[in-house]
Amino acid sequence: MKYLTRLAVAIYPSSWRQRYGSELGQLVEDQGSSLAVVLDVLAHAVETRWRFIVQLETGGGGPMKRWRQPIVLAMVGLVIAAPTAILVVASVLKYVLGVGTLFDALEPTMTPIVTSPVGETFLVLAPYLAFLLAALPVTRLGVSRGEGRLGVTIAVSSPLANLAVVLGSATLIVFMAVYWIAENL
Amino acid sequence: MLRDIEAFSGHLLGPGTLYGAIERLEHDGLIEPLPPEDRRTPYRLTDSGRAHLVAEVAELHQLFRAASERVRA
Repeated sequence: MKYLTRLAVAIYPSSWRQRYGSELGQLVEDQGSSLAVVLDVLAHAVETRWRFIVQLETGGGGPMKRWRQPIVLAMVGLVIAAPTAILVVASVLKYVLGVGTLFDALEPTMTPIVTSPVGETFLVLAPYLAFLLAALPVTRLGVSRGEGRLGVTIAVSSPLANLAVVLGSATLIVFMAVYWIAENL
Repeated sequence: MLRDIEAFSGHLLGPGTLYGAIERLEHDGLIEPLPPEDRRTPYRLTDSGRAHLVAEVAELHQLFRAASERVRA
């Protein structure tokens, strides 16, 4: 449990740990590690880490690096998921609507990627990664305990770019899941 | 501090919860750390924190009085 608690403390942002890490460590040492303590520290470490990324509060986190801004992460997600999206759209156009122009134009480029294990894995996982990159920076987790109950709240702010990437990647994930089920079951 | 909070509120806070609150209160300028004593870091209310607490207690007191009157009515 002590190891797990240390691991949970390591999830806090480094500037937070520099300020409060030793005090928190001392408190945990005094109180003793238990599953409840690990979960409590873990929940707040994740919440603090997300808050620092989103910078909903300044909280001593310092200025947010440009690449960590939600819209930048959403754009990175968009770029990562773009090949899968293009492939899905081209496939739907050809095999559902009978318009093969885009698919035929892409086929020479896409075939070596789709048929390689690395390429196929990337294309399948890309929408999940895009979803996480767009959703996590605009999501804030709150955990509270009272009267023996654990309360969890999730607040989502909605910059349009992040929302669009979240919806787009979720659509891709659902489409691919339905396609996989139809093909394999 | 955890024992103190448990004694008056009946809730045992976890260390993560407590330091989440300490971070917010310090960020808002309501508490400030004192020099460490025996491996522990005590905190005290700032002037702003004391004024905020007095206002909160007054509000709670007013709420308590209003609720008590309605319960009696």
